[in-house]
Amino acid sequence: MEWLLSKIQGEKSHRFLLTYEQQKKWLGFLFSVPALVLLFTFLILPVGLAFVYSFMEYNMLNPQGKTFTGFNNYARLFNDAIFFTALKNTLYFTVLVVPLQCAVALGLAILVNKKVKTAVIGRVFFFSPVVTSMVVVAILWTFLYNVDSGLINSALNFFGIPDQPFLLSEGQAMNSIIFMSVWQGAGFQMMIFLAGLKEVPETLYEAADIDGANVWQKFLNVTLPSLKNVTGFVLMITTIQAFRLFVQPYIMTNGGPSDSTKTLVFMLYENGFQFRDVGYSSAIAVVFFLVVLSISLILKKVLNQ
Amino acid sequence: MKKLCIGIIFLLFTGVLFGCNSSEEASGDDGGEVKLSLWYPEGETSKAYKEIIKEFNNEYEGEIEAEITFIPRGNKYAYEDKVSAGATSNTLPDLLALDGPSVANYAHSGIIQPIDGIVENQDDFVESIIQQGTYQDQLYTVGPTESTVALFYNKDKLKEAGIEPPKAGEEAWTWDEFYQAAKQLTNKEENTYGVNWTLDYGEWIIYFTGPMVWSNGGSFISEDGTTTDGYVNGPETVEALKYLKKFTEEGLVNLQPTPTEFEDGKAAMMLMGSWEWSKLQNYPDTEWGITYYPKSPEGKQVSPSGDWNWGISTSTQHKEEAATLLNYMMNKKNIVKISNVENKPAARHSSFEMMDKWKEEPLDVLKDQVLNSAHPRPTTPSYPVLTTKYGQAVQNIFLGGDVQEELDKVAEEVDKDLERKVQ
Repeated sequence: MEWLLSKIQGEKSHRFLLTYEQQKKWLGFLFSVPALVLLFTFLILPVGLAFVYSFMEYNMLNPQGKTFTGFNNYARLFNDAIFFTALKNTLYFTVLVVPLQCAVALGLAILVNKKVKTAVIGRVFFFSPVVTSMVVVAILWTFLYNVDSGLINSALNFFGIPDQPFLLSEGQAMNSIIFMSVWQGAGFQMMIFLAGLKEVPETLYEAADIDGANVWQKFLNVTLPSLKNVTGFVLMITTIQAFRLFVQPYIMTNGGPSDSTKTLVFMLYENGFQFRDVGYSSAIAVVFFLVVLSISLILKKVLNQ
Repeated sequence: MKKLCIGIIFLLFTGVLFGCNSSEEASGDDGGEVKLSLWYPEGETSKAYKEIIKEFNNEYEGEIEAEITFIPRGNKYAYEDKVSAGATSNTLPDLLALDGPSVANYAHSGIIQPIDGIVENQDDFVESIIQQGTYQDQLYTVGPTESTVALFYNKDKLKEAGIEPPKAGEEAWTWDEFYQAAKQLTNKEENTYGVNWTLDYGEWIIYFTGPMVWSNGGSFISEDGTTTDGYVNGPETVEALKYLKKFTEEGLVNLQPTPTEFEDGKAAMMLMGSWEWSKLQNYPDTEWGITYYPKSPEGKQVSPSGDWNWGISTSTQHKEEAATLLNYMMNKKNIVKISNVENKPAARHSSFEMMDKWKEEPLDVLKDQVLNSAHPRPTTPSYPVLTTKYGQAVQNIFLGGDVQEELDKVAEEVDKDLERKVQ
């Protein structure tokens, strides 16, 4: 690499008479071109196109026939009852999943943060759902939630609780999805918390011991404050992830019963791919982007205080 | 050296950006041989098609070379998603397979072209296949096989209960007879159900419940195709779904059945697609028969129809060769081949006659339905919205939703879409 650098610089300097500073600038730019091209093609361009398409009537099967229709798609969106149901469902999911998942993850992290062999097994155990494909997990949980022959109802029956409808009921479907999502996702946040826990200096705990603090006091006054930055990061990514809920309702409930598990991304997929209405689904995407962006900004502000 | 380096970088980028295009353009005009591409959903027929294409390439060596790509379908709309993406990026094949109800939508969007007059022996095709391929009086597609839904039954269980299944189309069970049989065959203590029907989230729901609606004199959309209000939520449709709801409400049907409920003897009857009979042979312990799809008390017996078929895309540069290939695939011999692999009823009368198994019990019922009571699904450019919303509504109805309310919502959504498409 150094050889290449000197070669290019050397040849450049007498052919083009660039100063050393100029060479450095151009060379830096040249090296970042691959990344910039990829970023532009796969990130900036699609987002920009989605924004443009959101002002168009655009049938996916007939791309030549697309026409600008102004704010039509947005007007349609804000008159669409399903949109508000989807927004409500997405918010409900996020509001419940984020604290639950973070709490479970923190608990697990503390549990496996021991210097014993079994802790390593625990880490593998709790992390394995994360590396399993969500589609597989969702199908498995559909079996677990089966009313007649599902494992969960069998367990409930054992404790004298009658069969629950789970995915078949408007009231329980979303909660069932939340429960399995927490189980599936917590392992990932656990790993981040675990890394944070390793950074907490042992001396702080020793000092707390000398002051006569009990376990709970140590957790509140040493562990939690030390994890402040990590917690902020975890909350942020969990929130963004929760907003993108799609696979679970797609596989387990098809957005039902009665739209009770229809989320914004599900609606976006349905309109974009099944109904081939690119304009409308782009409008949903833009609104979705704005919602996630504003919530992330608010969250950031709150966490910084 | 510097130039060389920059040159290489440049080449790499242009390669990345235009790579997809250059390979497309390369095919087609090398040395007189016309290259044709085909898309087909991956499945049991893949092998048969591979063979047919190979034979075709041998026969037309030096003139036409066809290449078939199999695309995973899943139980939802993965294949349709791929076609949509192909249309957007202008990378559709010359010939593409599509499910029956997609014909109107694809024809309306202009991605497939009329094939009037180029199909050999067109009169030999069964009526329902031509109906399915026709949009606004023009033929767009033909397919090798048909499908239907019939009532499969467990012989032992019906004998035990003293129930005699009907043997002829005119004697098909009425709704009430079917309901009584299901009720009698349900045993809640042993956890066995009277009927089994799948609650697939895809196309299945409109396909298998359609005959209930049609047999009752109802429909999904007005005859001129401009509105669904008063049709999909009309009194006949509502009555049909109220009837079906009785089964789920009273527990005669399992809402979350295992995939082999009928095969395992946990359900006495099964409303299932014609293609399923071959899978039943893997369960020799269960003796089964097939009888006709039940009819409404006043109406006549109706069965659903429709299957995968082939259209020629509008983006093809070689319509003539594509037509040659289409006719080759759809000739009498190849239809027999495809029909045998998929165990589906053939779509040509002459091919049907060549296969004896369709003349005997139990498959004769399926053949009879295909020839005499087949009813195509609605042809409308708003079909994707109709089938999705209707499917979701029926799911809700089976889970206890109000029939009229749910169907009203379907009519509202579909009509909004129709309005946008028609303008």
